[in-house]
Amino acid sequence: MIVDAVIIGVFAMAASVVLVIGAKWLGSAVVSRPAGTRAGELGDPRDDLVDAPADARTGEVDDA
Amino acid sequence: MPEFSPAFVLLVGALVVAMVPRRFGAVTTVAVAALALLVTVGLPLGATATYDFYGIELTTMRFDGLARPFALVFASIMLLGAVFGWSTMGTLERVAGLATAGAAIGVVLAGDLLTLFFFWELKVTTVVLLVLARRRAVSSAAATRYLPVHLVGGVVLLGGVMWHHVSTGSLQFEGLELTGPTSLVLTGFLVSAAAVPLHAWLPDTYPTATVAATVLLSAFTTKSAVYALARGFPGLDLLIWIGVVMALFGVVFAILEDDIRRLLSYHIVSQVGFMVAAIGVGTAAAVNGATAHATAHVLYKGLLLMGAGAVVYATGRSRTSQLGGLRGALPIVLVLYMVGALSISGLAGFSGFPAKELAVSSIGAGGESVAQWLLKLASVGTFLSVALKLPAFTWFGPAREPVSVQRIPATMYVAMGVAAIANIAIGLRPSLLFDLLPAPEPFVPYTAGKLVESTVLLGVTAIAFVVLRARLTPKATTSLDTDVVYRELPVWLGPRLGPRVGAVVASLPRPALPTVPAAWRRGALPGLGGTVAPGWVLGGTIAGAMVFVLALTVVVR
Repeated sequence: MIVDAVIIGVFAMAASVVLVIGAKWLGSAVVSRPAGTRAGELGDPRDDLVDAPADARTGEVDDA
Repeated sequence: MPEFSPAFVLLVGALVVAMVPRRFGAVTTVAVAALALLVTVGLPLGATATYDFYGIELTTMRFDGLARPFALVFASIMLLGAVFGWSTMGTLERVAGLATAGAAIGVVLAGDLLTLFFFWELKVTTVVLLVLARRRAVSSAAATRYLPVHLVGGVVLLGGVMWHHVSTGSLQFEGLELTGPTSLVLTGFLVSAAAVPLHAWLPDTYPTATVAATVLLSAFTTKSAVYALARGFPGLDLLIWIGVVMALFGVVFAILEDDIRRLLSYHIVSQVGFMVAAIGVGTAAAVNGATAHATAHVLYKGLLLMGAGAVVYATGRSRTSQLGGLRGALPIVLVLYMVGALSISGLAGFSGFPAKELAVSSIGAGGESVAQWLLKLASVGTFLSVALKLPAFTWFGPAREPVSVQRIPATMYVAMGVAAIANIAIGLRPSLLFDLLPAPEPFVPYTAGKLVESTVLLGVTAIAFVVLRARLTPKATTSLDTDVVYRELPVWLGPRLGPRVGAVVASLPRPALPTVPAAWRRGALPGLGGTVAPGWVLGGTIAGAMVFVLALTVVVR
């Protein structure tokens, strides 16, 4: 069981490093863009929830 | 308790909610959801209902061991979502939410492929309404992108159903052999399961809905597709690797993601990957594992999105690059969110531990040890981003921007509290979940070996997070996904092809047609707060409906 625990521990450490560094490399090299710059993004370029009135946070509208 | 489908309780209930005065909307929605849950709990195993449709006997309800856990958890999350959104949901949102739950339960109770298709497409329609119910430009745009993806998926599914019926004379929905026709059915299921690369609609759509609608959305579409795969294609080897790719793709994009609800949406793709891989193994234990994982996932993902939604509601922010330091302002939300986070991470004592252990162990027992290790890799990424990165940069550290924190309604705490209790109860007593599974396969999740493995895996990952934390500092970025094709391509092609296509169309002889109002031709429909969809989407919708009607004619004949 101790050997198994050591193996899984080494695996977890290596997996964390690979995932974080790999994802960051992928992001910087290919997939990440400044927020709000994809085609089809509408509203505030950062996030349309920012500074929105409280009702807009929830979608609550007057249906009457 | 009479034996009738809870799907119809929810669909009729949706109509009732549409008609009652607005001030009774919340209580009526909760009452309908509670009634649907009671009806589901009261259904005996083996209950069926049939309907004669022009000489074809359709099975509108087949309540067996596989359908039961899905129907129960769908009804449960509808009730929790209705309580969570008690004071925030509008009428359209409530109606669409109940109808989506009804359609999803209709899918899992469908005993034949035609009934399945009916509820499948109904669900697509109600999901669009649920997203539109936020009535913001960002949600309308996301719904506009969601619709054609799922219309294409639906047409492919229908094409497969028709072809299968013509070639075999059967509409039976159970253990389908992979043939030409059923490969189309499989493709339709995989679109809704958010299989990579057909997944981009999910992180594109879910974070743009209201905080309560996102909770409901997270439960129904992908999990009804998981059910359909488990029912139709257990043991299909291809699904193992589709699932593994989904599990890894989702965690990598979640690590990059800044928006908290989009991060959690990528984890839906990842967790559904575990389920799809287990279905691909196809043993009784593996299908049990996929079902257990799907059921637990609805509960803990619902809780996570309630926690994230509470943060969005309270702060008006959804990006970790704008958050931080909320530990003092939203401590109870943090505790409840962490119950969901530790559940999804598979920590002992929480619902994800027995469910994920059953799924992953059965994949290993099925001889797929490489897939099993790759799923453990995905588990590391899940814990890193959901249980460490998101809370660390949302509740801890300095506030990155000044934020005014709005008080959260008590009903949100109630819904989150009940969901947290359910997750802990299943974690401490897995038989609550395992007794509902389709096959009577014994499985003991709490062994010394499994406990040590889980504890070491998560403990070492936590240490790695401390070391790597600086690299995970949030940045205001958005990740390009496979939706870049239908986001960017029309923008690029439009100015180049539009004038030429217009000239060709203008040169064609025009038949005498009724005049369409100019506003409708531009895609602006009245009553939904402005432009809903460009003309080509509306045209595609109409074309899809026509194909559906024609196809139905062929099948019925």
